[in-house]
This record gives sequence, structure tokens and C-alpha cells, in this order.
Amino acid sequence: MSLQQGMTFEVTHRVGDEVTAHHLGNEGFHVLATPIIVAWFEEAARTLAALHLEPGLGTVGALVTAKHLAPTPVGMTVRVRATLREMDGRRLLFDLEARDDKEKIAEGQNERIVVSLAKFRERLAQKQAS
Amino acid sequence: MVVQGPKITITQKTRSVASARREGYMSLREGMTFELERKVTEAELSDRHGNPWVHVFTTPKVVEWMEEVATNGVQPHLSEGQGTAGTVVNMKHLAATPVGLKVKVVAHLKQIDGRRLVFWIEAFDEVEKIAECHHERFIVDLTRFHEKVAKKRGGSAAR
Repeated sequence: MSLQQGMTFEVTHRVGDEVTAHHLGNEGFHVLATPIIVAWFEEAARTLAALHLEPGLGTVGALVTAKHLAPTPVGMTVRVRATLREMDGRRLLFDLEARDDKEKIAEGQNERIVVSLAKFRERLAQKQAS
Repeated sequence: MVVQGPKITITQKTRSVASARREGYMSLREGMTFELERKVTEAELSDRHGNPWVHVFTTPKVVEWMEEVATNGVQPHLSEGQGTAGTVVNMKHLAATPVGLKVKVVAHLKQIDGRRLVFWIEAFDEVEKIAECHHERFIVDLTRFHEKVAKKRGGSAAR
């Protein structure tokens, strides 16, 4: 595993109507929705990990925190940066930060566990059958 | 008037009720519980959200359902022109849920602190507890919120 502490990865998204709180059902809030920020946090962290994991391994999210600091209107671009803060066996902890064209809009953390995809699918099939 | 005993508690209560009356969400009470129950479909799976080969209920979707319960639960208690915006999400995803299972999300309104609402939210599938979350929302006046957002948009290069 070539993952190393301090590694960073950035994803960029344009805020369209489909990622607003209004679109998710919170009427009148035509701004970037918190669950979407959570999704983008996870995307940045997961991709950083995936780029350095061996085939057959993946990560699943175990914990995610987000402080949503400011609203982002439709039309702006948001950059989300993940930094690998800690590695502890199969456990990875990422720091996350999101900025729009104007300011920092969110910060948080994502803890992910490295899993063998085959084993993960096996356990899941067992649960589905129970 | 001399207030004896738990003076601080009394003071806080009075202020909280007064502020609730002023803001117009008197019927909202600490201890209220809101729920939703829904089946996990293909649309909620991780592999649809960029995590290939992981066919489970994705974390952001769990967060989305959690926010939905809190938002919709509170909304009927607000005045015309008010809504809530999410500010804090601290979510532990405890177990994976395969497609087809039913999930129940229960939001407890733990604290009303002026316009700040604090929730403890739990999610269960048919087998076990799958997630728990500390969530905070702010009651906002939509007109003022729109003004703030319009101002921010006006000051940027985009749109």
C-alpha cells in the first residue's frame, strides 16, 4: 500500500439545480445541500484511497462529520480537498474542506475502513439471506 | 422577585419560551420524535454513487434520509416563510444494508436553543441498527436567507 499520511486529493463540482436542498425536498432552499457535501467529502476521500489500494480492495465509510458553514448559490464551483490524516491498520482518517468561489463553506472528517471486496460481498449476501 | 433553587434553569426556560413565541414556532417541543420508513432501492446503492462493486445503502443517502426526517418533522411547526438549514452532521455508519431491506429512520428533537435545533437520529434496517447521527439545523427566515444568497451570488463571477 503506497498510501501515506499527508497525501491530498481534490474533486471539483459545479453547483447545479440537482444538488440543491430544494431539489432534495427542502422547499425554497436553492443552495448546495448538506448531504451532497457529505457525498463529495466521501468521493474525495474514497478516490484518494482507491488510487493507492491494490486490486480487490476498497474502502467503506464508517464515520463522517460535516460542519456546513455557509450557503452556496447555484452556479458556483466547489472544490473539496481530502487530506489523509491518520492510518491505523485498515482504518483511514481524512480531513476534509470545501470552498466555493467566495469562501470556505464546510469542513469535516471521514473515517474509512479498507475492506476486501470479495469478503464484503460474502458478508452482505449472508445478511440479505437472513 | 427572588428566585431560589435552580435559578439558571428557570431563567433559560423563560428565555427559550419567549424566543420561541417571538420567532413563531411555539408548538415545537423538545422530546418530539419524527420517523420515516422506506425500502432501500438500487437508487440508494454505493455503486451508483461512484463506489463500484459496493452494493449497499450509501452513507450520503443515509444522511439525506436523516435530514429529510428532521426537516419534514419540524416544518409544520414553523411559521409561513420559515424553513430550516442543516449546519452540523456527525454520522456513524455502523452496518451495511443490502438492497431490498426496509430502513426506519427516527429523529429525536433533543434541544431547542433559540433558532438552533439539535437532533439525535438513528437508522435501523430489518436486521440491526445501521447508523446514528448528531444533527443540527437552524431556523431561518427564507426571505432574509434568499437576500443573503443573492448578495453572495452577485459578488461572484459566476451567474
